[in-house]
Amino acid sequence: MIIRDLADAELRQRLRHAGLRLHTGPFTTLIQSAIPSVAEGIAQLYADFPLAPADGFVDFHVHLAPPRNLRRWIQPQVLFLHDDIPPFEPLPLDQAFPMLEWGLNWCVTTHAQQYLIIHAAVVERNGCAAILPAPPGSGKSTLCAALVNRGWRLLSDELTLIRSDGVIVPLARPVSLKNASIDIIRAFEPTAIINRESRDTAKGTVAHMKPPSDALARVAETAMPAWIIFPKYAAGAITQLNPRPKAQTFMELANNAFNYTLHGAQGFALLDRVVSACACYDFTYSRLDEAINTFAELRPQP
Amino acid sequence: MTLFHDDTQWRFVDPQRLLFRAWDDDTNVVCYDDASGDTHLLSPLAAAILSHLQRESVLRLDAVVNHVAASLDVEADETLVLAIEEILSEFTERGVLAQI
Repeated sequence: MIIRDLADAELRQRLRHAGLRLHTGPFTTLIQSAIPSVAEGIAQLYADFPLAPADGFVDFHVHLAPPRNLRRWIQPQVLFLHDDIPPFEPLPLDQAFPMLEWGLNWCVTTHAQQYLIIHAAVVERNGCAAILPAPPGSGKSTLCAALVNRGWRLLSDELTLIRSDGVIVPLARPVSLKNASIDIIRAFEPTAIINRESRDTAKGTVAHMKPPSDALARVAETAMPAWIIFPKYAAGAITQLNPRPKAQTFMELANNAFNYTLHGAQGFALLDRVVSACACYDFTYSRLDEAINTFAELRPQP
Repeated sequence: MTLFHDDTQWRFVDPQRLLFRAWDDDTNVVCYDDASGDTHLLSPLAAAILSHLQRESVLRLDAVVNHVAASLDVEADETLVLAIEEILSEFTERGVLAQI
C-alpha cells in the first residue's frame, strides 16, 4: 500500500492521531502532525511512497506541532520533535514542510551510524552511482533534479549512505530546491511536481520536487560508486569536466561526511575503497542541457 | 637556525598507528592516525619522511635529509633541512613522532 491509496481524510486522520508510518529507503518513520501544510506536502510529494505495517519497527518517531506558547496565536510557529524532544528552535508555521524534510535528514545523520554518510547527492545509471558532494550554493540539488528527470535514478539529493561493503543504499526522498533553482527546474521539466514555496527560510525560498516514481519502485536496488563529481554552477561558465586527484578527493569527501571520524580506521578503509573505485572530477556548468550531455558520456574507470 | 641538535634521533611513538594511502594520479598522500582519529593530506615531502621513518624505526636528522633528497631527487640544502625540521616538529607536536 502506498500513500496515494489513502483518501485525503484518512491521511490527515492518521497524521493527527496514530501517525503515518512511512518507508523511506531503509528507514521507517512515524510522522504525526495536525498541520495542514504537512499533510499537503506528504500527499503531494510522498504519494508513491510505501506505507509501513502498523505493527512494524519504527526507526524515527517525529511530530510537528505548534509550540505551547502565546505565539500559537500571533506569528504561529512549528516545532519538530523527535521522540518528543525538539532538537531545533521553532520555525515559522509556513516552514512546517521544509522543517519536516530537514528534520528527517537530521534523524538519519544523527542515528544511522551503520552507514558512512556523505553530504552529497547521488544518482545512478546502469548500476553505477555518481556521488555529487558540494557545499550549499554549488548547484548540487539543481543538477541532481535535472539528472533524475533525464534518465538517472535518484538515490538521494542530500545524504549518500555508504554501507560497510562499499555499496550505496538508496534514500530517495523529495529533492530540495532553493531560490532560482526552483524556477530553473520548473522550466527544465514542466511535468516535475514541485510543492508550494516557503519563503524567508534560513536557506531563502525553498520548495521540494517529488522524486520520480522509478526511484521509489527500485528503492531496494543498491548501486556501486563509480564517479565522484564535485559540481559547481557558475553563471555563463563553459561546461567543463576535469579530472581531480584522488588524495584531494578523499579529503574533501571526509570533510563532507557527517560521521567519518566516528568510523575510525574502518571509515578510512571504506572511503579508500570508494575513492579507489571511482573516477573523480570537478565539474563546472551553467547550462543544464550541456550538463546532461556530459553526464551521458561518463564511463566507469577501467 | 635549526631547532634540533645534529645528533637528534627520531622515532615513531607507535609505528602501527599510521595508515598511508597513495594513488598514481597524485603525489600527495592520505594518512590516517589511528590514535587521534585524524586524517591528514601529506605533501610528497611529509609522506617521504614519515614512510621512511616508519620503515627504519629510528633515524638521525641527517639520515632523514639524505633519504628524502635521494627519493625526491632534490638537493640536500638548507632549504630542505628547514622544511624537514618543520615537518618533524609538526608531527612531534601531534604526538606522532618523538625525539630520543
